[in-house]
Amino acid sequence: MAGAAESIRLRGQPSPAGVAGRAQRRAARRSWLVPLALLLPSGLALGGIILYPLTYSLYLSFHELPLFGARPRFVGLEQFRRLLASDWFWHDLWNTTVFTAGSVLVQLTAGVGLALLLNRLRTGRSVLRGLLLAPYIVPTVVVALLWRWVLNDLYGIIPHLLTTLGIPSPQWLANPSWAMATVIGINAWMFFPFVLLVVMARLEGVPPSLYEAAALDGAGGWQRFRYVTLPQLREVLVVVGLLRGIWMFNKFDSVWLITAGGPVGATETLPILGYIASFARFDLGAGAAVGTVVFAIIMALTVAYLWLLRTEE
Amino acid sequence: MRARWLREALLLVLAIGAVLAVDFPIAWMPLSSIKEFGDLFSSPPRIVPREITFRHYITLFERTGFGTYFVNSTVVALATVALSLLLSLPAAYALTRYRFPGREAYARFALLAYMFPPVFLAIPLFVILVRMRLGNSYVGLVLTHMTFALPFSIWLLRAFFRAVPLELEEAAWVDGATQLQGVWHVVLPLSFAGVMATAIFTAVLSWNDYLFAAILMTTEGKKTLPLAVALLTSEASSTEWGVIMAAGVLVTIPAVALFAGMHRYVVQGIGVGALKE
Repeated sequence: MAGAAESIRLRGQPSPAGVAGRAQRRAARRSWLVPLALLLPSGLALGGIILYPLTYSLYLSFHELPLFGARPRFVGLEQFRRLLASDWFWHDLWNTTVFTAGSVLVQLTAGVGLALLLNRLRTGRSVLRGLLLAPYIVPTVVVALLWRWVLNDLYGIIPHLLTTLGIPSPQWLANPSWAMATVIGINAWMFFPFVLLVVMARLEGVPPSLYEAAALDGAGGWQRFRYVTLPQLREVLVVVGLLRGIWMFNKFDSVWLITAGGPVGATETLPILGYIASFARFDLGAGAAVGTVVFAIIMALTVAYLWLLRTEE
Repeated sequence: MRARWLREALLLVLAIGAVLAVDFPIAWMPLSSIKEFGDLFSSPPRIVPREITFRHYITLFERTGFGTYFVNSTVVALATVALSLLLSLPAAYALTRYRFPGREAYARFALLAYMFPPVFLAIPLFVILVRMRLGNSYVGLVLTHMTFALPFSIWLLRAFFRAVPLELEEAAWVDGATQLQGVWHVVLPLSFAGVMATAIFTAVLSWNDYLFAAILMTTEGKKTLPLAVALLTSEASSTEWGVIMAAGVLVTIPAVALFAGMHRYVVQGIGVGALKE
């Protein structure tokens, strides 16, 4: 890997460049001032727009602050006590878990399946790949209104096609027992192209000799997938699965724009709970408390991700 | 030999079937946007319109400030790209070309920051920006877009800069180039695809943002497209689907154009940057 070679170089091994070059490099690379100056602007920006707000959010979650009120009032752990005592929190935590697990699973399956299919094609591979990326490119707002139209109970094309084929079509978004599945499906549709791209890139790196060896051993199609392809994809799938899991756990806009958490809370997830608390009930302290809890869960997931990366190295 | 052809044909049919299934809801949108009311709300739905109309597009521009929203979104996206490149290019260079304590920690933080829940950054940012009198302003909105654009750019550019061999830069120095000249003539041209991919991604992320615009932009004339379109759907009665679809088409075109024009960079971009160090 280029990265590894580079870090070895940076540790001061001689390179083909001349002595003068080496001296200059030493002088440049050992300096602290230059990298500090280069990193300072972005560091300040990240501090101002990410670290400071996060700290402030933590502070807010120990306070009561009405949206149009004057000063935050310290209430200790009261916000957390109220949150954990409410049925909605546990209901929404469960919904978030179902939503995350469901949409990650579906997008991984669809992404890997289609990547394997395209990978075996000789003709039109890149055109078809480009066409399959389309859902990933359409803006989230448009995805939401598009699906609400396509699934419309009265005039939607999908209910019509299903009924024509003799398949009963439920009220996809209005029926509480179907809404979550529908929202999961739409999110998986939006994000499977990411998995597809990553997996296709990885498949190109699988040495053909592995398949030749497997063929010599008399392995069939399934066995080649099970013992050659899957182990090669494992690492990438672990990383993509976790990344997508974190993003889905945080997902606000698509769910909000498709159902706004409804019907009767059937698709309400924790990000939606936090948004409603802050900007519909105007209780910023309560919203911040939801944020702190979700943040703790995300941090746990992220630490798991970084730890996995480390062991994979 | 014949079995091979047969297999290829079979796979191709499968793949085309998948593409049709995946893309047909998207294709349905422009089709709906040019249908007359009769075809739009007929039961069973008509796939091919009897008559083509552009009345929904005209209604959209007449009844809403669509042109204004379009300009707003463009300005915000361009400013976000410019500001995040300005800050992330030097950062990514420092992270790949120098060794110093805290280098890995900084890079990790950038990755972590990209995973912070946006909804929960939005709550404190809203309070902070309103206190700074930056609520309902483009400056405030661009700052909130930086929360995703900047960490993302740093992370992506770092991956691309790493792929540029140090030796090439050193060779330029030996030939008497200054470090800045080395960056300009060697590093940037060699990572051009990466810089482009980063810029496109950042622009699209900003173009798509609904959340920050929703909490920050309160006056009609300052709304961005996603916010305006979302409001259109919540206010519209069931007869407005033609107008809504027209709006959807117009919001999607710039995003698709960016991706299509630079498909090559984007594919490379996801391949190198998104995943592993």
